[in-house]
Amino acid sequence: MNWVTHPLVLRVSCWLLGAVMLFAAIPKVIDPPGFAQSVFAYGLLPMALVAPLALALPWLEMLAALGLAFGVARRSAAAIVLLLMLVFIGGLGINLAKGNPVDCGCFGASMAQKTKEQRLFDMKMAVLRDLGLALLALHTLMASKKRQE
Amino acid sequence: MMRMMRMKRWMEIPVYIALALLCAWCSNALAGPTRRLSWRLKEPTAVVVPNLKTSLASVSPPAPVPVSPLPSNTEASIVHPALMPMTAKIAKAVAPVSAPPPDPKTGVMARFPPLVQEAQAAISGDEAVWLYARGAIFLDARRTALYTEGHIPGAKSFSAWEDGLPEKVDQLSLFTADLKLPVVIYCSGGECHDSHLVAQKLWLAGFRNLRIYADGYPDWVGRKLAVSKGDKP
Repeated sequence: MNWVTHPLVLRVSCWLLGAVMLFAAIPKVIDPPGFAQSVFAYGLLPMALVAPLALALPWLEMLAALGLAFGVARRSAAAIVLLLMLVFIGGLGINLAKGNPVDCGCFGASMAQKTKEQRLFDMKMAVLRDLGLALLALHTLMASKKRQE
Repeated sequence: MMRMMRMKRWMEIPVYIALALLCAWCSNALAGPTRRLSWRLKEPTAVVVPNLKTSLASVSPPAPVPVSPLPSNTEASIVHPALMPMTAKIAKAVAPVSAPPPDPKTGVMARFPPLVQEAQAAISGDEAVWLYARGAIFLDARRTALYTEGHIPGAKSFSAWEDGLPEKVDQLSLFTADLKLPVVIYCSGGECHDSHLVAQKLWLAGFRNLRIYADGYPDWVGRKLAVSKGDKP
């Protein structure tokens, strides 16, 4: 058995991903207006879609996190997390390319006053973190598939 | 069998999305007013009703510009109480050099006439202080939590993102006698766009003299001007 598909590695991977997603979802679930503010700042969505996304996406993150942690529809949960990470990387990447400093909003709205340079640095760090999480989600997806086969 | 399994797996993702929507709807319905978000960020419904406005103005003249008549040429008489702690330099800039105009509204309208070409215009900190001293309406577009921590005295909370903004805009338009008088909107300065969002809604409700205090609340605090705490203006 390959160590990558080892049940313990898979379980740790799921718990880690679930914990990060849960930690990210809770502040957004508690404060949807703050998350809507962050989503709007990205400037990628029409106004009509900002509120539905700001309301539903944190719950999707939370349900996916619970699915990963408790092994309920684990592959679908991992696929959702992977998709979300790709969307976040895309959103951050477009704004980084434009030089538009936005509050990531990944772990809820930040009230801290930051300079443009600080925000752009935070965005780069967020892209790296999301890449790591996307790889973890991909691992969970592939390892679960291998185990099912 | 494999096909059935694959179909079941594909069905799981829509189920996740449906559950997320259901949870979002329930939690939003149960949330308090400062944590609730309108599903559809809509424009104000009741736009200006001229007849109603005229009748309201004739029955009890509201005071959108609560500037008392200026009795003398002294600095103290023109400076709003909230501006008392400011430095002598700023006080000098705010206070008129010559005799005050007979009608304060005329002076305000002369310097800040209604906007024709654009819906809103940015103003500097000095201009905001000048308008404040003459009793212009100030609106705080930041989140209620930040408003409670500290805001410009007399400013009303008009959070751009929290539920209930259209109702507040409607109420303000109904009880403001002259929609051409300057209304100053501020948020956190810098990259903050919340004041622009509030200004858009006010423009749709008929306000025609919307001024964005570009540097916002941090600038006000930086000038060491008075601030109010709590949820009341």
